[in-house]
Parts: sequence; C-alpha cells; structure tokens
Amino acid sequence: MLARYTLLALLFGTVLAKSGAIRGLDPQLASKYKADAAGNFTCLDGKQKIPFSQVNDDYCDCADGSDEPGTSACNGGTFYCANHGHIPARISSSKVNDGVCDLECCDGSDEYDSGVQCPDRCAEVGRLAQAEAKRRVLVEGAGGRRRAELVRQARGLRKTKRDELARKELKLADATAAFDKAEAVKIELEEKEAARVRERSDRQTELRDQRLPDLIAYRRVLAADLHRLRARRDSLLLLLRSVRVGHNPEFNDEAVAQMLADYAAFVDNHADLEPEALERADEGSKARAERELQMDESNGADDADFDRCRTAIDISANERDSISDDIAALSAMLQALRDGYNKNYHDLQVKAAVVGFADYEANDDSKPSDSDEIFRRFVEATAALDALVDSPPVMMAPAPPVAPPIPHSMAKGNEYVQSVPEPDTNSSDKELADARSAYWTAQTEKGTLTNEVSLLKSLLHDTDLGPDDVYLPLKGECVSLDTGEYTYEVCILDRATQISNKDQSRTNLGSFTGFSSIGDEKAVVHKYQNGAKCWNGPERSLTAHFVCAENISIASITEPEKCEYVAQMAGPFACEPAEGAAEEAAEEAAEEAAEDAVEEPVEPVEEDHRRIVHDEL
Amino acid sequence: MKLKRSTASLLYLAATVSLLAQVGLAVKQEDFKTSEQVAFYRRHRAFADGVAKESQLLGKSVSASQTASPYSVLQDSVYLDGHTLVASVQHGTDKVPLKLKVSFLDKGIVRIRGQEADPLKPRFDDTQKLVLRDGGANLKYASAGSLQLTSEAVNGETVHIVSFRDANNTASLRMTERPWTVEYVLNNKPSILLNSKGLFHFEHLREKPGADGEVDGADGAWEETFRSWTDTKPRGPESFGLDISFSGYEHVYGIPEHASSLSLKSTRGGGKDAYSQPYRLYNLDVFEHDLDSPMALYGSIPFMVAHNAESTVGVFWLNAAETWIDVTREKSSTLGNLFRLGTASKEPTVSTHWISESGVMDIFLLPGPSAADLYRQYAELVEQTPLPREFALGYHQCRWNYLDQADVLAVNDKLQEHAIPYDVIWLDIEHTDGKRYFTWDSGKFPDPVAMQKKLAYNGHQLVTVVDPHIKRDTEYRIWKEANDNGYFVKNKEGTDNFQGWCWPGDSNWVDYLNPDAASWISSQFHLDKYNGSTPNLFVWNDMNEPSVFNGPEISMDKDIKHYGGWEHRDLHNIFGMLYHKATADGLRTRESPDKRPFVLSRAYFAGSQRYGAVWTGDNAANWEHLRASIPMVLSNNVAGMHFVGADVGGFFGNPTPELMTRWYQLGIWYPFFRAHAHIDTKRREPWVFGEPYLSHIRNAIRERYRLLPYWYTLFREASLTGMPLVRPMWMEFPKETSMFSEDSSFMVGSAILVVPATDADANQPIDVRLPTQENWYDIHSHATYIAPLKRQFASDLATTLVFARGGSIIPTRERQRGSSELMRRDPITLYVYVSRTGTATGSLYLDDGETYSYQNGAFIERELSFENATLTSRPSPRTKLSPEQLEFLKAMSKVRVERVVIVGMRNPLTKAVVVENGQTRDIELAYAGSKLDSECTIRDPAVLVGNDWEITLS
Repeated sequence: MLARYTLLALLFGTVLAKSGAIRGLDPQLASKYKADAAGNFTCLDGKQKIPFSQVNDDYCDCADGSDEPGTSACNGGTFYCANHGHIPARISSSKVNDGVCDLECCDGSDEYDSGVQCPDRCAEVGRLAQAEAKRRVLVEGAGGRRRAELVRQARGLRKTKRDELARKELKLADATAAFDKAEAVKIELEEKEAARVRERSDRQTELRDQRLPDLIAYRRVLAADLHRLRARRDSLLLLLRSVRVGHNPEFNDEAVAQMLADYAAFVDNHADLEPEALERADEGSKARAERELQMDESNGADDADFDRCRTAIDISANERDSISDDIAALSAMLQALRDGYNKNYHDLQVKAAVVGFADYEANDDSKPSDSDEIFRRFVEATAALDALVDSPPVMMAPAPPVAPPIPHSMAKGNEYVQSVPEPDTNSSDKELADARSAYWTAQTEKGTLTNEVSLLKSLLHDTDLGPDDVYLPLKGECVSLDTGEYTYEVCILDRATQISNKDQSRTNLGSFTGFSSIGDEKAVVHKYQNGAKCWNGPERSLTAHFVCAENISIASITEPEKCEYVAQMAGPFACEPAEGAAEEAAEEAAEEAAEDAVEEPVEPVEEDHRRIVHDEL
Repeated sequence: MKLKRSTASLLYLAATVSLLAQVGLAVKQEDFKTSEQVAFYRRHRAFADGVAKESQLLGKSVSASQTASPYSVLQDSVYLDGHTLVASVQHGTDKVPLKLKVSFLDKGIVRIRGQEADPLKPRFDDTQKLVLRDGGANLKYASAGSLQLTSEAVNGETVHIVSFRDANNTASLRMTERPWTVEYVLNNKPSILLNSKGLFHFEHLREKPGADGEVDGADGAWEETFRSWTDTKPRGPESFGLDISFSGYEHVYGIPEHASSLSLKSTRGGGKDAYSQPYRLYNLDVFEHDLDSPMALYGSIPFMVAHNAESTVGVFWLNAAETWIDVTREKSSTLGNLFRLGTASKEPTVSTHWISESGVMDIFLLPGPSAADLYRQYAELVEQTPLPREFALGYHQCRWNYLDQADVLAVNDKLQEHAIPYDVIWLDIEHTDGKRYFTWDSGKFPDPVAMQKKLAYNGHQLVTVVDPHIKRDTEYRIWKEANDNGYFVKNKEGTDNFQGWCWPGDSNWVDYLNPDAASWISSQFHLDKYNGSTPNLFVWNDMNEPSVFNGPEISMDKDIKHYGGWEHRDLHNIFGMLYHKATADGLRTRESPDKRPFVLSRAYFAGSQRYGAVWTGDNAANWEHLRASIPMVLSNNVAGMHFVGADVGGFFGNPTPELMTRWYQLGIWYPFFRAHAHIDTKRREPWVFGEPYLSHIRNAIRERYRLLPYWYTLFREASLTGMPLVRPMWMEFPKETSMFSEDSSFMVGSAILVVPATDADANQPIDVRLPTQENWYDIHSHATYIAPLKRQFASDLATTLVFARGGSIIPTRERQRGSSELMRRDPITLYVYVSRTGTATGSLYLDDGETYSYQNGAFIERELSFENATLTSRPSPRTKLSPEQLEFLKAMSKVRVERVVIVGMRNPLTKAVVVENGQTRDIELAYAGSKLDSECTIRDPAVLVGNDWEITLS
C-alpha cells in the first residue's frame, strides 16, 4: 500500500504546476477544472465523469482528451503555455515532454519532465515578435494605403476607360457609315472597270496566242544559256575547290592564301553551290541536261500559257545574271591566282588549277548566233502586249495593303481578317483607284476602332479585375527576379516568362488564366498557364502566391514539379484595405454613382444595356 | 531512385523518346538478354536436351540414377576425411577429373564444393570470403565421430552412404557412383536430389585453341557478342550446371529479385502460368521493368526454399556470377524405388536446374525441417540482419528531388504542421555539384550542416544519395585520389581505368574488391572527409548493380578487370554489396564509439542484410505494381533479405489519391517504409491530396509509429534467429497446404495478419482467409473471428484489414510524436489477444536505438506471457547484469506500461492485482470507451518496462 501512496503522490506532483494552477490548462477553461461535490471532473465533452485526481495523472481517460491538459497522455489534446513576456500559445499535447524545446512554447513549460532543460526565451522571442509585428504593421499599413490608392486610381481609370469607350463607339458608328459609303462607291466603279477589263482581256488573249512562239523560242535560248553557264561555273568551282582541298599548306603562298580566303567567303555566301557542282560532276551531262529541263519546267514554264512562260523567262533571266556574277567572281579569283602564284613552290594542285583555268578560258563557247534575233522578237512580243494593257494582268496584282492589327483573341470570326481585299489596279481610271484607296482607309479606320472598342469592352466587362477593380491600374505591370541561371518575369494579370541569363532566350511560362481558389479563400493566388510545352512534360505554368506589400516583387521562384513553377510574391492587392479606406471608398463610390445618376438616369442597367447594343454591332 | 536516363546523354534521350512513343510503361526487352542470347546457357541447354534424349533412347524415364549423365565417380576415389567426404568425378569422354568435397556442418547443413582436381588456373573463389560469416573461416562442422560412411552395392552399382545426426533426426547422404548423384535423405525420404536428372555439367578450364589449330566446337566459348558489345572471354568456357530436385515438394520460393509470384513458377514444360524463360540472377538496372516475369532485376540472392506440410528445406548456391535457374514440376513414380525406402507413391517434385557462368561450384543444402530451423541454419552461414538504427524503421520521405535547402525544410515543416510523424527526409542526385558525390550544389544547399541541425532539432535525419560511379574530372578530389591510387576498375586489357557513362557523364568505378580501395571509400564517409555531413546524415547507394548507361545490359562489360586480375563476370552479383559494405563501414566508424549505420542499397546479394536496407527498385504508380510489391517483399524476406520495401506511391507516374492512400496502407507493413517519386511526377507528399486522403494516410503512418515497439522487437528476433520479419502464410501456418502460394496477404511477425486492399475499386469486397483453429481479432475494432474462416470483408478507403492472431501480445506506443526519436521515453501499451485456450505470449525489446552497447547488455528484453488470467513480464535469458545494462535501465527508469488492453476474455473482469518488485497494488479495470464486452483495459498499471512484474485479473 505504501507504494501506491508514493505513486499517487508522484502523480499528484504532475497535476499542478509550480504556481498551483493546473499544468497546461488554458486559463479560459479554469472554471471547468474544479472537482464537483463528489470529487469528480466532467470531461469537457460531457460524456464522462472521472475522479478529479485523474486530471493530469498522465493517463488519458476522457475520449476528448480534456483530462490531460498538462501531459502527453491524450492524443489530440492541447497544452497551454503562458509564455509571459510574449503571447500565450496552445500547442498539441503530442509536443509535451517530447524532448524538444518548441519555439511556440517559449517559456519551456512543456518540457517539465523530459530531462531536457528548456530556457525561458519568451523575453527574446517576444521582442523579436514585437519587432516583426511592428514591421508587419508598417508594411501592411503602407500596403493598405497603396491598395486604397489603387482602388481610387481604378475608379478613375474605369471612368476614363468608360468614357473612352463611349467616345470610341460614337466614332465607330461614324466610321462604319463612312465605310459603307466608300464600299458602295467602290463596288459601283469596280463593276464598270470589270466590264472594261473583260473587253481588254479578249484582245489580250488574241495577241498572246499570236506571239507565244516568240516567247517559247526565247525561253529555250535561255535554258541553253543556263545549262552552259552552270557548267562553266561548276568548272570554276571545282578548280577552286581542288586547290582548297589539295594545296600544300606548307608552302604558304600568299596568292593561294588570298584565293582560299576569297573562295571561303564566296562559299560562305553560296553554301549550296559546291555540293551541287560535285553532284552534277558525278551525274554526267545527259542526265544533267534532263534534270535541268525539269528544273526549268518547275520554274513554271508552260508552253501553252503566255504569262507563265513569261514568268519563267523572268526567273531564268535572273538566274542567268546571278550565275554570270558568280562566274565573274570566281574567274577573278583564278585570274589572281594565275597571275600571283609562286611558281617556285611547285604546288602541283595549284599548277593544275592554273592549267585548268587556261582551258576554261580557251573553251569559251560563244552565244548561239540567232539569239539576238530571238531576243528582239521576245521584246517585241511583250512590248505589244504591255502596250495594250498599261498595267500587268489582274492575277499579277501586288499584295493588298496589310489589314489593321487585330488581337489574336478577336481574330476568329472577324470579318476584317477574312475579307479578301481586291487589287488596286493602278488603272487608268483614277477614279477607281481613289475609290479603292478611300475604301481601304475607311476599312482600316473601322477595323481599328472595332478592335479598340472590343478591347475596352473586354477589359471593362469581361475581365476579373479583383475587388474594387484593384488590379486595373497594375494590369500588365512586370517585375522580375534574377535567380542566377534564369531571370523570371511576371507581368500582373498578363504573362510569366523565364529568361535565360546566358543567351536571353525567353521561355513562356504561361498567360494569366485566373485567380486560384486553392486553400484559404483569402489567399491571393494568380495562375499563369498554357506556357511552352516541356519535353516529356506538361505545358509550363506558374502559380504566384502573394503576400501584402506596398510594391509588387518576387521573393522566390521554384520548380517543385517539372515545369510547374511556384512564385512567392508580394503586392498591394494582397493587403487588407487601410483603415478608413473602405468607408472612404464607399463614400466615393456613392458620390460617383450619384454623379452618374445625374448624367445617365438608367445607370443600374447601363452596363448590360450597352453590352447588348455592342453585341448587335 | 530510379532510372532517370532521360537527362543522361543524347543516346539515352533518343532511347527515352522511342519509349515515349509506346503506350504506357514497358521495359526495353532488347536491352536485356534472353537465355537464348547467353552462350553458356545455350551450351547447358543443349547438353540437357541431349541427356534427356539419350535417356529416352535408353528407354528410361527421367529419374534418379537412370539418366544418361556422362559423369561418374572414379573407382576407389571416395573416402571420408574428417567431416568431409571426398570423391573424384569424371566426364565419360573428356576425362578431366573433378574433385568434389561434401562437408558435413553443424545442424545438418551439407556443403558440396567442386572444381577441377588440378585446375589449369585458379577459379574465382573469393565469393565465400565475401559472403559467408567470418569469410567462412569459422564454420561449425559436424564432429568426425558423428559421421559414418558405408558403401554398398545396389543393382550392381556402388552407393556410398554417410549417416549423421542433426539436432532432431538421423539423416543421411547417399552418393551413387554411376552416374554420380547425391541424395539428402531426411526422415527416411530422399528429399534433395542432385543430378538425379543427369544435368550436371562442368566445363573444365582449357587452353585456347591456336589460331590455326583445332577449333573449339563449343558455341560462344571464346567470344560472344550481344548487340554492339563483344565479350572477349579470354579464359574460355568455365561454367557449370546442376539439377537439384526437391522430392515431395510442390512449392519453391526465394531466389530474389524477380517481379514474380511468391511460389516460383515453372519455366519449362509449359503448364498454367509457366514462364518461357528461366529465372535469372544478374544484378541489372531495368528501366520500367515488367511484372510477372523471371527477368533479372537489381539484386540476386541464390537461396531457394522448398516447403511442404512436413518440412521446409533450402539450397544456397553460393556463386556471384550470372546464374540461370530453370524450374520444372512433375510427378515421379520411381523416386524412392532405388533404395526401396518407400512405396512407389506418386510424389510431386520440383526440379530446378542451376547454371552459373564462372567460379567454383559451392552449394549448401539446408535440412530445416521447420522454417525456424532453416533460418537458423541459413543465418549460421551468412549472418543475421543486425539491429538497425531505430529511426530507420520510421517513415522515410523521399523524392527525386527535394530542390534545395528551403524545400527540404518546407517539407519538414509541412509534415509537422499536418501532424504526420516522419524520421528521414532524402536527397537524390540533384543535391550534388554536378553529380560529384560527397559534394553539394552550393547554390541550392548553401549550408547543409545548418539544415541538418534544423532537422535534427525535432529528431529527423537526412539521407543523401552517394552512387558508385565517380565523375571523371581531374579537379574532383574523390576522382583524383582514386585515380592516383589506382583504385578504379580497369578496362579489358587491364591497362587503364574502365570508363563508362552514368549520371555525371564519363565516369569510373572504384574497385571494391581491392581492400585498400574499399577502406579508402569507407573513410570518405567520415565527418572530416564528407563536407557538409553531420552524424544525422545517412547514405543511399543507388545504381550499384552497377548501372553503366552505355554498357551491355546497362552494366559493366563482363571481361573488364578487377583487383587480382579477376574478370567482372566472376563477381558481378556481389559488386553492389561490396559498395554497400564499404559505405556501412564508413558510417559505422565515423564516430567513436561506433554507431549503427543506415545505408539503403539497390543492388544486393546474400549477405547484404548485414549492411542495411534495400528496396525493390524502380516501380510504377499503378495498382499492378502495388500488388506486385507484396510477393517481392516476401520473396526477399524468404531469402533472408529482411529490411526491404517498395517505393510507396510507385516511382514512375502519378498515383491517384486512392492508389496513394492504399499504398501507404500497405507500405506501413513493409519492413522498410519509404515514399519516393520520379522527378517528372507531380508532388505527392501526404498532404497534397487533401481530405479525406490526408487523414487516411496520416492514420496509416501513425499506425506504423504506434507499432514501432513491435517492429523493433521483430528486428531483434531476426537479429538473433534469422527469422523473416514479414512472412508468407506458409511460414506461420506450415500445414495449411491451401495457403502455400498465398501472396496477397501475409504475416508481420507471428502476430499480425495483413490483408491489403489493392483494388482501384474500394467497394470491391476482399477475400480474407483466417487459418487454423484460433481466434483472430480485427486490430482496430477488436471484433473477434473464429477461425478457420473464409469470408469477404468490405474495405472502404478508411478501412484496412489487419488481424491480430489469438495468443499474441503486441507492444505499442500510443502517444503521437513527430518522430521515433521523440517516442523513446514514452510509456508502453500492451495488447493481449487471448487465444482459444485463454493464453498469449509476446516479447518486448528496447535499447538505445543507435549504439552497439546492447551487445554489452544495455537493453531491456522481456518475455511476456498471459496465462490463468495473469500477465507476467520476465527477463529474457539473454538479459545479463552489466554496468551498461544498469545504465540503460536508469535511462529507462520512467518508461512504464501505461495500459494493458486484454482482448478476447470471455468472462467480465473487474479487478487487477499488480505485483512489482514484490510489492502489491490493486487497479480498477476500465470498460469505458470499448465497444465490446470481450475487451477490457487495465488502467495505468504503471509497472516499469525494466522490472519483473505480474498482473492478475479477476
């Protein structure tokens, strides 16, 4: 029996802390920890009664754990640390006497029986906490004020934008009317012009049929020329190449070095030529002729069509000029080599090239005797046709003027993108040209305004700009953080980008898709999604978590999962509105509403009403 | 980890791209050899087929001593030399004599060693030194006097019989001369038969035929190629094979590691579920490995166990080279006829055919007859699993990769915030400076010591990965020292370092066969060498098969050279273990006095259990892998590799919240409990999935922590007896023949039956079989079930099916703490699950969890028994008075038993009388809070765990 008393005494020792209060008990609950008349304690859930001596006896009796505020016996219980000098804490009873001096319990009262001495650090912790609290108050104060300021700005901004929208809509109505008018004029004139063109076209066809043989003849001449010139250029290329590959670098011949440098520069600009020349050299002349004929045809030659034939001639003529330029350049290199190389060096490859060049020059096959006549007839044929129409045929019209820039989000279904502009025919009919010009000007004006109106409507009606439009003034504002290998840029409600610090290459981490609702509803989280796709992974995305601060900044960016970035950020929109700001804002809003009411009596339904009107546009 | 080849090189980039093109996960079969692509297997196969054919021609059925085996014992060569029976065996035509030595060890173990009587050059024989207890130097042999050799003629042929006595039975070994066969006769039945099918074939060493000389006809004997790799085989053929039949047995188990069933499948002869390839033992890094396959994986343990209702026997094939094992099943009517020992009843037989590429033939036959006997015998050879660091039994939080110091601490904080206990957080390869192990990426981990101190503050540890490949970088101290000292594995010519690719790109590998190199690498783990390490840092050896990205089968060429001129082929399967050992040695000795190390390894061999834990490698987040983990973990335990687990959640891919929950609910029953994830997967820490999953996962992890005293006691048992921690049903219920292939439920120790839910549909009822005439109790509700019982149970996501076996006492610690370290001084709760006869037994082991002072008696080990309504705690016979013990008792002087819950008493009880140290006190019983009449709680008996006491109920 003695042992039992000792034990009880021992247990009793743990019930009460030094002060005499029940250990670990929240003072707010103190009234409930009194023995009733029968000497019992009622568990806080009311479901059990136990002898009061069993409170804090290091054995869990109550299902709710309420009998052991001062021990770790009950899982899910709570231990109260008074933390004098700091704020009191309620820690999980699992942390009582676990041998760890928990920072939350800075007075060390939770470790009274674990063999660990926890010093009372509340004074120090309290000081730090106060300093931190002070700092937070400052930050939050400044942030709150900034936020209120943003809300004020936003209100002004929304009004400005709204006004702007109204203005633009009026202008758009005017522009639409102007456009309709210009279009009507243009259509009328074009119909007239079309009739004229039809008449002219008949005459053209006739003339084309007559003169087509002249073009075909000339095209053949050109094809032969090209074939010959390519062969000559190939000869030169192969000669030069043979020197590059086979010369003896030991000799250090200046002329050779110059030639090599010139040739290297030439090859840099004409990378395909040498491999092609080698290929042709392998091919044999017959096969080569056939292939070149095919090439000629692939230039669009068609003996039955005057215009395509003429185009093929243009292309071939250009190529002829270009090959001639190459030949001149390459010949010059070989001439310089021939004139300048050091004959003492006995570089067999160089000497072979010089001899080869001499052969090349000797074998300069002159043009076919009748080519001049054929060219003359070609010129006559085209001149006759051009004389008939002082502008190129309709199908060769220059590109239409570029349509006004339209945001991609609006591109779909927009009539201005899809409409195929008609050619400006530089017609002798100046009236038509002017009508078309006027039409394009009107269309551009209307398109620009339509876009502007759409953007404004989208911003004002379809964009979640946060409570009180707090994001409106900051939308699109960018901040960045350099993390060593990369700089990250986040543009508010717009997009996130990773920029390599090595080569400045930019990787799209996503565009703003909305505010996340994960976890705490009060948390400010922005999601940027659908960025560049990862190899073997998802499309990149970034989730930005904001805390309150006066200015926007990025504290850190990590990639906890492949291609899914998480940014810890700060910004004023994450702040609570400054004291008084709310009332102030409400007042202002009321004032404005009153003003608006004066201007527009239908204010409450104004937005919706407008939307309907716009949609009808 | 992992095979994370994706970032390793262009070559592997291409490989992975082509992988992606396929649907789902699939191993690249073409990277790995089939048996047909292995010359020595082909040669033995051809030999075996020839023998079978010839036996048929002779009109003989394939059975003992009636086969056409060309090997016979040389006349008059047999004699008994002390504890060893010596015989010379020779092939009928090649006439190269082989010396066979059959040694008789303590406990009935028989060892058979064989090689050329006069080898042309030495065969690799260090495997025994590196694997056996004390290098095999102190094996206990049977006394010569207990052995008796008699020779007699049976059917005109000589049979030599050695009779000996093990603890229980008289046993004998019979050796026939023509052909040579050996039979281990147990209980008057030939049980383990060698060469009874005539497949014994020993390729003797030979000179290479000259360039213009005769051509050696053997297929692939002097060179073979696999894809773009050529194995030059300068030593020529030196493989050997032998059939080992288990007569009277239908089930064989073990030989991990394979993603296969617990009961091994047939690999020849077709039949239901049979494989078309043999089981292979060759440590390999297999990217996205298949399930239900005999393909080789990361570890190899050539230990096979056969079990029937009468006995459990084993074969340990001690060889570190590539080994293939064919399994066939048959009914044979002729067994036993030869010796006229029994009737000609049809005995089921499992025949196995073992083929190894090189080394000495070295086989141990273990007679059992009980599982407990068998594991004592096996542990006698390769040692037990030592007591691990206690924290290692807790929850391990791993991911490839926790990005940086802030990330590590954030995960630590989150776990604490969600009141989820854990012990260790892990860092994969990205923590290093460019995959230079022993270094830190200083940008991400500016102050690893401060980080570890923060973790340690709440009792948490850190593990870093330290792989065996060393980046070729002259500025890297580790590389430079190893290179300067010539510690690297050499190329084929032996002239320069072997070079291959792994994570860091061009790498070299330290040659752990070189004792100097091994001790050098050990010392690199010391606190003064491993910068940024503290005593709270432990190590993970990954990729130690070894994984070589550009090598044949993603490993080393077999013909490259190790210390002593040995080829890699000779020691491939122990390479990973040698690194594991070196790492563990380094950690053990970094503080004074020594402390228990913790090292996780991916590659392993028999003996690896001495050095730490292993895991099953790179699994995947799907239900099939969840199910496959059960037989994989069990097979490892069957083979003595106890401390094993599978990656919780599945390494590749993203688990659904349901799969994640179920995996935690199973994972807490793996001896090694670690969650891990591939770098390309989503975060999946326990809180990520939100409710209700978070609560389910938290509850599971807490259950692991509650039961830590039981787990630790199980480890203690394993460290003494070699008994597995998690056990197949047959092991605990050896006569329940219908459960011999059960591998979807299992026992944890002898007291707890786990029936995991492994179906995506939580409404799917689960079949539960409760064996034997015993009571079982739902471990959560304490509902009683009278066995034998077969029925379906519902198991929604909040429910797990775990049963306590009537007659067991399970110690727990019920207070929720943040880590195992913070529970050390917590009181114990004992659960007494009463048997049908009203009794129960159990034990409880406690020590300091980190030092070796338990070897000097610094532990509390109690034998708990419940009988006649009295619960008694007595010291184990190992408990000895010593200064260390007194010191430990003092440290535990406040640790009491705070609660005893008695489950299954039929008569209501009202009172308990406690007697402790001769003093008596009464205690009221509480039924409050329990839903069942059959359960009562002894409220705070307050007896100390270190004291003798008894509690009598009335």
